[in-house]
Amino acid sequence: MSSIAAAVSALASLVSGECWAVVGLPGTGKTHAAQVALREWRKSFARIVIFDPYADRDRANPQAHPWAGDLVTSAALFAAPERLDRRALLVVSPDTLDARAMGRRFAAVADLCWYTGGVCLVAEEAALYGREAAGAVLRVATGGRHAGMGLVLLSQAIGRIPIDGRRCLAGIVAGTQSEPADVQALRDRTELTAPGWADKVATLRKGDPLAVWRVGVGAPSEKTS
Amino acid sequence: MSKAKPAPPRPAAPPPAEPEKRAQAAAAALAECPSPELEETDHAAHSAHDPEPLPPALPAGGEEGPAPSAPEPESAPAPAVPLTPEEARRDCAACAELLFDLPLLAQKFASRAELKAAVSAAKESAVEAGRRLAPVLAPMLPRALPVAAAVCALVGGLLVGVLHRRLPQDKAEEAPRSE
Repeated sequence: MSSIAAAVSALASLVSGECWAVVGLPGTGKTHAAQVALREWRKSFARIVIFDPYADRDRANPQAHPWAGDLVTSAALFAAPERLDRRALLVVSPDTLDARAMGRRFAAVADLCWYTGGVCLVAEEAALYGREAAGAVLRVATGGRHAGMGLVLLSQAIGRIPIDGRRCLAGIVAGTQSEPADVQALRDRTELTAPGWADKVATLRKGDPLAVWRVGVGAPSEKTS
Repeated sequence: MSKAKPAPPRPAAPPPAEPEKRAQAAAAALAECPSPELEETDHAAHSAHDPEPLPPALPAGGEEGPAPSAPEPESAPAPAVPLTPEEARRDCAACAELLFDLPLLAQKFASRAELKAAVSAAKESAVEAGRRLAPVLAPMLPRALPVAAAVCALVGGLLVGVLHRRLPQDKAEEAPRSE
């Protein structure tokens, strides 16, 4: 069984109004799992928007497995928001590495998606700007159903996802976490429904299958095998 | 016979739910973006297989993100502007974790300057107290208990002696009043 099969299957179930987190150290397969699940998201959502700070660099590096789709800077999207209507799959680059500016631009992109409707918003490397965009994350995570939106937050560490967003997670796909605080953050979110799940994540190593938790379905055995 | 078949047309996306509000939000966001980047980095025409050359120099940034930017230079005292949680997060690196988890805390401060002053004062006082007490207490700890016991015994003995001498006299003085 593929190490990401269970993760892809779980992510593919994303529906409007849900927020999922995909976390894990580099090389654990979190982005790959999300990229495979994207095929299913295209069936559930009219539009997919991927906010990726490294989109430019990754496209210049064949080893980086960049996200597919038409690449546009956030500024260009703000200048012509109707791009969202022409393309069903859009990769948006913040075109800055400043965390504050990145956060503001992610929040603005989330606004455009909100007013457009029917968008699955994928926040790649959310650790870089999640805190600066905590309000936008919370709004989409809690009220995305009203706008037909889904939200997927990809981050190396769960602790870098805004806490209010963490509280609204419908599911978590987790690979290795390196910090005890991150395991504790996983425990805080999942222990009530899936006792022991976070501790199993703590034992994962690179190459192990990603573990899956979803709200309301509590079972440590959800860890893929 | 042509091998390449034209790709099937993509299903048209439904129209935006709130185009006016979207346009307003886009305009507001665009106003915050510096204009040069708009001209230079509109990549919409680039395909995934048409990489562009890297910029000459990029800030160093690993998987966890770019190196932290230098702090803003201190300027004249800031006016009393209402503080939002977002601003508080940006302005107070020392308590970022706390504010991040408790954004309502930011509302207790009327201004950015007030928050900074409160955090600085708390931090300085805690550090100063620790700095003063640590070297004094550390070497004393092994000897503290016998010294404290000796002091207590001495004081206790004195008290007992005094009370012992005063009690009969007090009783004698109080006796007529009680009658």
